[in-house]
Amino acid sequence: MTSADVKDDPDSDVSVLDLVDLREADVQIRARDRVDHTVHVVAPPQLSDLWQSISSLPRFMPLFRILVWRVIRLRYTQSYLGLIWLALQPITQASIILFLFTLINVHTGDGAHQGLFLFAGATSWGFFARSVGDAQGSLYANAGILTKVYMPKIMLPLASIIAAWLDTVIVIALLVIVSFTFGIPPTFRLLWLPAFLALISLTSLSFGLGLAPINALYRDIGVLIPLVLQVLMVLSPVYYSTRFIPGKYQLIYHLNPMTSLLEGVRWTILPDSPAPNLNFLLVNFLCILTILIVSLLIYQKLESPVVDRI
Amino acid sequence: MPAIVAEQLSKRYRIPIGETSDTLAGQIRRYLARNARAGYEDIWALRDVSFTVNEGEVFGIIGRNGSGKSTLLKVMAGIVRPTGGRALVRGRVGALLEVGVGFHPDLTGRENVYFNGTLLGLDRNFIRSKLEEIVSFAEVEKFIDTQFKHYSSGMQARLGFAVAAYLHPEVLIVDEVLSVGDLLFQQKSMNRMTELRKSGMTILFVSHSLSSIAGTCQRAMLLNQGCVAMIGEAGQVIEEYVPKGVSAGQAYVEFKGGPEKQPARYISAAVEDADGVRTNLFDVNEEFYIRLRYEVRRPLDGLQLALTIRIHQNDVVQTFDTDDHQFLGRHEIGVFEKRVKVPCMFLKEGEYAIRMTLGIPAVCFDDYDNALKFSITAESMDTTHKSYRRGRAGMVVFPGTWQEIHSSVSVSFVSR
Repeated sequence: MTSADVKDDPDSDVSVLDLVDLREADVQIRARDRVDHTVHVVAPPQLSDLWQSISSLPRFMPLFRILVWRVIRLRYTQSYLGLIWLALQPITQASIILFLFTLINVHTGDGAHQGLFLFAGATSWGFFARSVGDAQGSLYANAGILTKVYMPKIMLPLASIIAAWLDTVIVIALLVIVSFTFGIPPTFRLLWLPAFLALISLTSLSFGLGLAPINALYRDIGVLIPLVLQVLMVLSPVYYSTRFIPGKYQLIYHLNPMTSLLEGVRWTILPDSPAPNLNFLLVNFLCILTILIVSLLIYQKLESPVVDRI
Repeated sequence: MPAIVAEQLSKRYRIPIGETSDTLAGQIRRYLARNARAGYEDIWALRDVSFTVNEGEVFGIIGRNGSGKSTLLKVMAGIVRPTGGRALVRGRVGALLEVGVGFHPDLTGRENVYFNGTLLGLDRNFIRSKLEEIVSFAEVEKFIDTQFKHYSSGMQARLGFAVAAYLHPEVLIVDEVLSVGDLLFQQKSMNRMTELRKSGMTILFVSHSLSSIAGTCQRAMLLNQGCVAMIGEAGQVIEEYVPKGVSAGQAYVEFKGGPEKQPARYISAAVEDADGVRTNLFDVNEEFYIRLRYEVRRPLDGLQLALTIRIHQNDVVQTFDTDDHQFLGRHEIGVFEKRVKVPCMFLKEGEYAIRMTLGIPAVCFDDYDNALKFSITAESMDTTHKSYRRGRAGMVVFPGTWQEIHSSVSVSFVSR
């Protein structure tokens, strides 16, 4: 009778002990209870922590699910309007801009369909801004469990980003509906839409991850970030097409990762919207990766002080 | 086989002084005005703490408030990262830190049990099989599906303990949570702790109740301002911690008068030996007296004096009330003096403090804590092997009487 045999049968009864020398019984009792002898290391923060956190995520999956679900619940069930608000915001914004542009007789979009053009921009940007906003506040909002529960803390901003994926479903649905409303049925290009939205999600992660600990440590950041996002919005082709940017500034302009992504989203919806320049798209992608890496480093450096000071 | 090995664990907190540093604007101002870098004060909550705990051992950690006990537990539980040093822990770690720690306020009790189980790396089936035991131990059946934030602190503590006790991590870290809950629950908890200990769980135990430490821990560590002052056998470490010396001046105390309308008050109190000599050093084998002098300003019914004897500044050993006897009853105006005898072979060696109260049922007129101090030693006898030796668990000297009921000698085989 080996301890392995006993381990496989956790509900086996005293009869096992009859066959075993009583001195061994203590060891057997322990074996029955699913003993786990993995060694945990308690150590000061180091760069490898990032890898540790991410590789231990599978173990914390049920908790992660709960965190994501909690963000979703907070976002959509707290306000009475909930999902309706999600649609109402871009519609209202796009409508206002459309009204303005029509009034001053300005046409900023590619192709004839200014309304849909503006709506696509407003929806995508709203998705981006919301994700960043949720992610950057995730650590501070969960201050309670940060100091009390053992878990990879990076799960908190990640949960915000994942919860935002629910947004994408709604965004896609909205865009399709509005397309039909404007009499422009979607083409097969629509299949590329999730890809662009995924990249936008990745961008918001890049920004949000680094900002989360900074926001938790310095309370004035929370006010600063919406302003910065506003500036970024003006610098992105949300309500106008990139062809308005003079040639010599085009490259610098395209250092903003959201440029190609917004163009991409519009390309999937509007038939006469040009495809984003592949070179610029690549540059954007590299920018996103750079920001992501910088964010990860900032996060790793500041995670421990956040727990100490929050 | 060591279950925990800690090497040179240190934790520094940088407390900013001066300009507020929790805004970016403030931080920039600090950076610009950095004269002499006096911006931060370093507080070392832990300094080079090293210790080893063997598998299945119950290891106590004692020390004054601010000595770093809670910080050490948080570091061992992985919640706070150390500034320096490292530790290795074999097995899953369950932590019972402050009440409700490890539990998410928005989840229900049931969800929290699953949550904690998952943190420990257990699969849902195993948790489900243990759920009923946990809920009934914690006595929260009715509330298992309400959110944790609605639980009373007692319920939170009970559920916390139940989870740790039944989800069976290999290493358990407990920070004084056992003092919450009613007596019956505390008893249940201590029993369960003993069962857990027998099943091989390694336990790190922090408590202010030195009698709990003495009763459950084999070895202990004394922390002083973040540093290890001593590691050794539980009894000896407790010795080291207990504030030594009871000065002779504490054998007698006089009290200033209170407000005139106070119906009765203590005038003085003293500790004296059998011959009436005021002293506060006694032998275990010696009986002594506590003498109380008090004044009654208005006729009172049911006036009562109560003395609480505390050992090691924390645990109550005994109370003496005058309603044990026939002094309860009407007191006219006047000055009275009474004394109570403390028998020999009753209180163990140690330093004691007396708290005295005076009042009528439900109304307290006077309350003096640590009014008198005395100490008991065992010079006259050799207590090396006695169960009531200093440092051994137990509050009183009581060898008990053993009676032989049955004995039969059987033949035993001796192998060659």
